[in-house]
This record gives sequence, C-alpha cells and structure tokens, in this order.
Amino acid sequence: MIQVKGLHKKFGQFEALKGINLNVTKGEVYGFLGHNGAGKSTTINILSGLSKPSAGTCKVNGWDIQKIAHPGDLHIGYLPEEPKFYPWMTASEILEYLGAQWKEGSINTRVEEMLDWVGLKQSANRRVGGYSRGMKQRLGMAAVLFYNPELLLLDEPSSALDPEGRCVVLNLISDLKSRGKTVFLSTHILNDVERVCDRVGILSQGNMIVEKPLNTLLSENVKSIYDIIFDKKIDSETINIIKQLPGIKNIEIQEEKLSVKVDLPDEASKTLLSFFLNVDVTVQSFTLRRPSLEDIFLEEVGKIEHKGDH
Amino acid sequence: MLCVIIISVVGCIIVGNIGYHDIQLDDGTLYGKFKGNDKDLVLLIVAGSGPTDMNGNSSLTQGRNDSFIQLAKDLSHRGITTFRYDKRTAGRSVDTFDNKDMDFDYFIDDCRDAIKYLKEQGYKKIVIIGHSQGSLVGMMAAIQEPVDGFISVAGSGFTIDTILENQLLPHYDEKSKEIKAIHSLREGTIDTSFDEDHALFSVTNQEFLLTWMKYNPAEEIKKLNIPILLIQGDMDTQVNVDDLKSLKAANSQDESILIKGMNHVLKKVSSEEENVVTYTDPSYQLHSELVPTIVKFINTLK
Amino acid sequence: MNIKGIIKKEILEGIRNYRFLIIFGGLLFFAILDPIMNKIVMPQLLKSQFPNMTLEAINDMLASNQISVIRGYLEDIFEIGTIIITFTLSGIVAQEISEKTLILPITTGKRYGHLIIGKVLVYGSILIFATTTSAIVNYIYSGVLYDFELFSLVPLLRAGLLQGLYMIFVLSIIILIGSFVRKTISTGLLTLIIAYGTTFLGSLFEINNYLPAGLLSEGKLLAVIPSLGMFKSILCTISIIIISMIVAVIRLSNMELTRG
Repeated sequence: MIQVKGLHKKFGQFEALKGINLNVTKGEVYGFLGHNGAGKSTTINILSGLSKPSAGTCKVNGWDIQKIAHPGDLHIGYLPEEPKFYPWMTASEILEYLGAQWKEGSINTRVEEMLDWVGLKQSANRRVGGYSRGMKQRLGMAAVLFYNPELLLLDEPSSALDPEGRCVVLNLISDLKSRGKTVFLSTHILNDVERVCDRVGILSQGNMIVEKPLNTLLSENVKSIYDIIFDKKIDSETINIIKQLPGIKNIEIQEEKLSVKVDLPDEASKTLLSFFLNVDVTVQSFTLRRPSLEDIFLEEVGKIEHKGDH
Repeated sequence: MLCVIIISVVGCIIVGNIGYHDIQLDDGTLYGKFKGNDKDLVLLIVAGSGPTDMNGNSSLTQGRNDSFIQLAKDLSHRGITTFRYDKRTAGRSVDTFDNKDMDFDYFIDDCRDAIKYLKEQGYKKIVIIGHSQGSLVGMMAAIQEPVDGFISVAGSGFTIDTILENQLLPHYDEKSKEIKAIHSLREGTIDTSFDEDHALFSVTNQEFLLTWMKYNPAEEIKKLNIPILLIQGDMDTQVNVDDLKSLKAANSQDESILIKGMNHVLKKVSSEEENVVTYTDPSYQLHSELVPTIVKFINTLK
Repeated sequence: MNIKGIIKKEILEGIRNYRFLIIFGGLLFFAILDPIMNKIVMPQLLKSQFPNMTLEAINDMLASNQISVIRGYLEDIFEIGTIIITFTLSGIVAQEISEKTLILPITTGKRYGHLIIGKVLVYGSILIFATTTSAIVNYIYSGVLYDFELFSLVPLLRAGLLQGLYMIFVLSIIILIGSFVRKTISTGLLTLIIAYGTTFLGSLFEINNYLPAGLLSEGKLLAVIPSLGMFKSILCTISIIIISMIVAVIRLSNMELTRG
C-alpha cells in the first residue's frame, strides 16, 4: 500500500528526511516511531499528498505522489495531529460537508453510522467548538473513514488524550485492523504501538534506523533485564563487583532496586543468585523483565546519536 | 489565464467599436451610429460648435450631458430612427482628419456627405435636426442635398459675428480690442495682434470665423422649401428667443415652439445654478416636451 | 462540479459568524444615516458651531437634493464600506490556512477551485444583494427627506449593482492576498491598499475605464444612459476577478497546508 524509496525532504538548508525507505503491506498496522522532530509528520505529510518530496519515490495506494494533481486523488484517509474543524458547525454538519461526495446510499444514513461507530451519536448536534480533544479526535476518525478508504494515515491520534480517550482511539484502530484496513500510525507513544501494530519503523534525525515486524524486533533485540529489589540500598563497591560478573551488560540503580541487563538470562540468573548468596544482602524480589519497545527504541536511537557525536 | 486576458482585451476592443458606421471622405472618416428600427425614415442629428461628439458631450468639459444619445434613445422608443455622427473635430473622427486649417464649409460638406450616405443606405425620407451651430450646418447641407424636413433646435438666428458681439458687449467696451477685432472681421480683415493661444481671437480662429460669418441663418433658411420646425428653450443662455424670432421671421409658415424651462443642452432647469450643472451631469433627463414635439412633427412627414 | 455542500457550508459560516449581518448592517447604516445626517444633524451641528453662518452658506456646504445625497452615500460606501467588507471577510481564506481547517476538506476530496468558487458565489451574492438593497433604502430615505428627484430607480439599481461588482473585486483580492499572506489583518490591510490604490491610479492616469474604479465613478453619475466605458470596466473587473481566483487556486495547490 505504501512504498517509499530514498525519500528526501529539505526545508531551505535543513534536511528533514535523509533518504528514508519504508514499505507498508495491505492489511497491516504499521507503527511509525520517532522523537519529536525526527521527521514523522514530514513523512506523513508527504504520504498524504499535502507535501512534495525533494527527492525519492513514493507510491501510496498505487499512486505516485509526484504525479497526483490533488491529495484527494489518493483516496485514502488522513487524520492530522490535532484535526481542525469549524467550531461553529455540529458534528453532523461537518461529516455532511466532508462526505458530500458519498454516492453509496443516503449521506444522512452514513453520517449516523459513522457517528455511532465513534461514539458521538449523542453529541451529533452539538457545535464542535464545545467538544473535548478526545471527541474531536473521534470525529476526525469518523471523517477519515467516511469514504471507507483502504488505507489510513493517522498522525499522533492518541497523543494529548487522557487514558480513557487513548483507550477509545486504540480500540477504534483495532477495529479497523479487524476490518482489514491498512493503517499507518505515526506516534511517539510506544505503548500504543505495542498494543496495535504489526510492524514498526523507527525514524531518528531524518533517517530510518529500524523497520521490522514488531515480534521480530522484540525477539531480536531482547536484552533480558533482571529487576532485583533489596531490603536496603546497595553500596557502590558491591555494584562495581556485580558489573564485573560474566554476562552482565549494564546496571541501572533506583534506590533499593537494581535493573541488571544481561546477555543470557539463564546463565546470568545462576551467576547473580550465587553472588547474592555470598554477600551480606537480602533479596526481596528477583524478576526477569523482557525489554519493551521503549527500551529497544531508546537503545536504537541512542546508537544513532552516539554515532552522530563521533 | 491567458484566455481570460485575451478575451477581456478583445472584449474591450469590440465594446469600443460596436455599432459604428464609417463614412469615408477624401480627407478623413466620419464615424456615426444608428439607433432605431425604422428603415424608411431617419433623423440626422447635427451637433453644435466646439468639439461636441455624437452624444452631445464636449471634450473640453469634465463630465457628460449625453443630450444627443438620450434624444436618440427616446426617439427610438417611439419608433423613430436616428443617425448621429462625430464631426471632424470631435470624438472618434478627429484622429482621421488634419484639422489645421478649419473652414466652416467642411462641416457643411461633411453633413451633405452624411445625407448622401443615408440615401445610399436606402432611407426614403431624411430629416435633419441641427442643434446650435448644427442648425446652420444642417440647413446649408439641406440646401445642397435635398432632404424631407428640417428641425432647428436652439439654432442661432444671426451671423456669428453678431452673436459674438452681443455676447461680448456686456463684458467689453466698444473700443476694446475684442470688439474691434469683430469689426475687422466684418471688413474681411484679421487682427494679428492676438496671441495664438487666445481662446476666441487667435489668428487660426479668426480665419475660421471668417468662413462662418458669410452665412446668415435667417437668410439661408429662406432657401429651404421643405417642412421646418423651430424649437427653442427659454432657459437657454447661449441662444435665446431673439434667435427663434429671427428664424421665424424668414418664413411665418414654419412651425416654432418655445419650450418653457429648457436650456441649451435640452434639459429642464429651474435656476441658473441648475442650468450650469446640467452641462456636465448625465443624471438629468431631456425636457419632457422636446421628444413629443419632434415626434409630432415627424409623424406629419410620414 | 459538486459545490452544493461547499455553498451550504459558506452560507452557514456567514450566518453563524455574523459576517452577513455585519455586511448588511454596515451598508444599511450608511444608507439610513447619510440622508438624516445631511438633512437634520449636520445643519444643527454647523449652526451651533458657527452661529453667524447663514442658512444659505450651510446649505451650500451640505448636499441639498436627493441626487447629491445618494452620491454622498455611494461615496461613503466606497470609502468606509470597503473597510467594513474587507475586514469582515479578510479571514475567509487566510484564516482557513492559518488554522489548518482546509486540511480535512482537501484530503477528503474537495477541490481548491470549488472552494474558491463557493466562497465567491456566496459572498458575492450577499455583496450584490446588500449594495443594491442599501441603495434602494437610501433612495427611499433621501426621497422622503428631500423629495424624489431621481427620475427612475434604474440608475440607482445600476449604481448598486456596479458597487456590488466592485465589492466582488475586493473579495477576489482578499482571496488572492489571503492565499499568499495567510494572516487576517495583513490580508485586510494589503487589500485596502490595492482597492484604494487602483482608484487613485485610475483617476491620476485617467484609465478608470479599464479598472474596477470605473464601476464606482459610472455608478455615482446616476446617468440616464450608461457610457460605453462602463462595459469596458465591467469586462476588465470580471477578468481581474477570474484571474485573481485562478492565481489563488494555483497558489493553494502548490502550498504546504500543514505548515500553516
């Protein structure tokens, strides 16, 4: 559904995208990750047809971005970060306006259907100016899905929402997935990606640093961590000794808790437990923690930043 | 976008040229316009002195009075066709003539050629309506080229030197240069002491006045043996009731009408102030009695 | 061309944001106020300020008949009405770009050309209706206060329509400038500069016949018969309007809407 090769985007002298490649196949939910300012919105603006690339090729829903006359020609759904509506219009009026070209039946029926799907039926005749952020986001979802497009580009759909709002949006995305829609989800909220995405692309400083199925990414980048809670704070001498033990990669200290990153969890657990038996410490909890996407993200991005420093 | 620009340029050119008929003369072209649907009878409107165009407007004044175009429109609504033209010193025609040495006879010749042109267009009956100086021009042309009727509107009844003298005497002494210049002209002599940019008595203008002076309207009108209507407004400050009486005296059979409240540009006025305003204000309509008077006369000729 | 939905939205916007009300109210205010000011208020004011001034002198300073009152009103609509209309409508494109409300309509298939045409149709109709209605109201008021002098309503309707067309020219400039500048106040100010500037240049170089200003000068004459120059002015004004719309559409099509 989306094929991007060597995509560059310059704003004056500043190069926002430095030749990124990405592929999104039909029916998958693609999580597009990156820090603020990494170039996610720049990428998604190009994919939506609202911006032209400086170089590279980009095909969206079978259309070459460079050749389309108008973003509407892509026949996709694009939800910008913080969708803007006319505050003096009601939700029904907005959907009627945006969906004016609906030809598959009565537009009023479709409007009702979409508002019902996003849970805004009760507020259909309220002016959007009085809507909360979450309600506007849901209305945005209804708007982009109005014409039943096969591909949806969602730019930070759940950021700045409260937990309940985020949950609603993620449930909507899961529902889209179950309907066979292809979703390109640009976000910096890694938990959301873990919940709904099939594949992940990580963008950093305009470069695509990772693009893999989520499961593969998690399993390939496993750096097992043991969370060990003691009855008291461990002295620095002991910590230094632990660091020297074989198979220990890194230690994070948080008061009475140590998070010890290891190479091989099984070997490391024997090493650590043996060590603790021989020192004057009381272990209250010893748990193996598999790294989250956040951990992977921070590590991958950290690599790039470290490279950049040199 | 280029199409829009081209269309608007072409459109402006068409608008500027629409409806014109040209009368080719040896030394230039007269441009005129018809108004009305009657193909048998046409009223030829002859404009007065100065650079007065076919609509009655002068390039010397800021603003319009539109007297002739209003007259043409009103007459066409009553079934009478008119033809009015830009004389050689006015409007569109002026650029086609070399007007260095003006002679009054040129105006007469142009009017005569306009009559011939109308005959060539197939009109069986032609009536001249001459306004102010145009009255003398029209009657002289009618003498040379027969027409079926003649209407004089605010036509002068005296020679131009008499008119000028009468106009200047309230402001200039008998012994003044200006009055003496008129006396010289009567003797056929040009007073060369005036500057060339003098409005009235430049050498060029005096030469022109000499060609004009030889015609006395009160005498010339006697030579016309056709139905004649004389119209005059009593609020006209340029041509007055005495002129009407002078023309009427030539032939008591001629019909004469004095329209109360009508000024020189054929509008109804009630004060001196309003009189002046109507020369440059196109919101004033023609005097309501003028057109019915003309129509009544024309109907007797049909 | 499916612009019914766009027209409906523009009408709703004009009503709910009070734009129509401000335009009508502004023009009607002058239509009613001008005759009353001339006939009743100003003479009293002058008398109180200059007690030695004669009635004749006062009448010389003020409009003294229906036609001059109507002309004064038409002049006021140009001078002040243009400001009201410009700032009322200055955001119709600029604000949409800066507030990014165009993004969803565009990405759901609305065409820039249709959006612009919709705005011009709706606001243009309102402007023509407002200028013509106000002119009629002014005619009635001035006729009641000064006697009905104008021989017929035709020159007045013509004046109203020509003013309406001039205001549509102003509208097209607002749309054009808004698509470049993207800020409401700047759009308004630049539009006023162009509107007044073209009128000034037209008088200076005597090319009013080829500029929208010619519409206003012809309208003000209240002539029995309009001049040919009026038709040239109409043609040129319509061309300027169309060209402004086309340039605005091209500009919007090449703009990155997401940058605001």
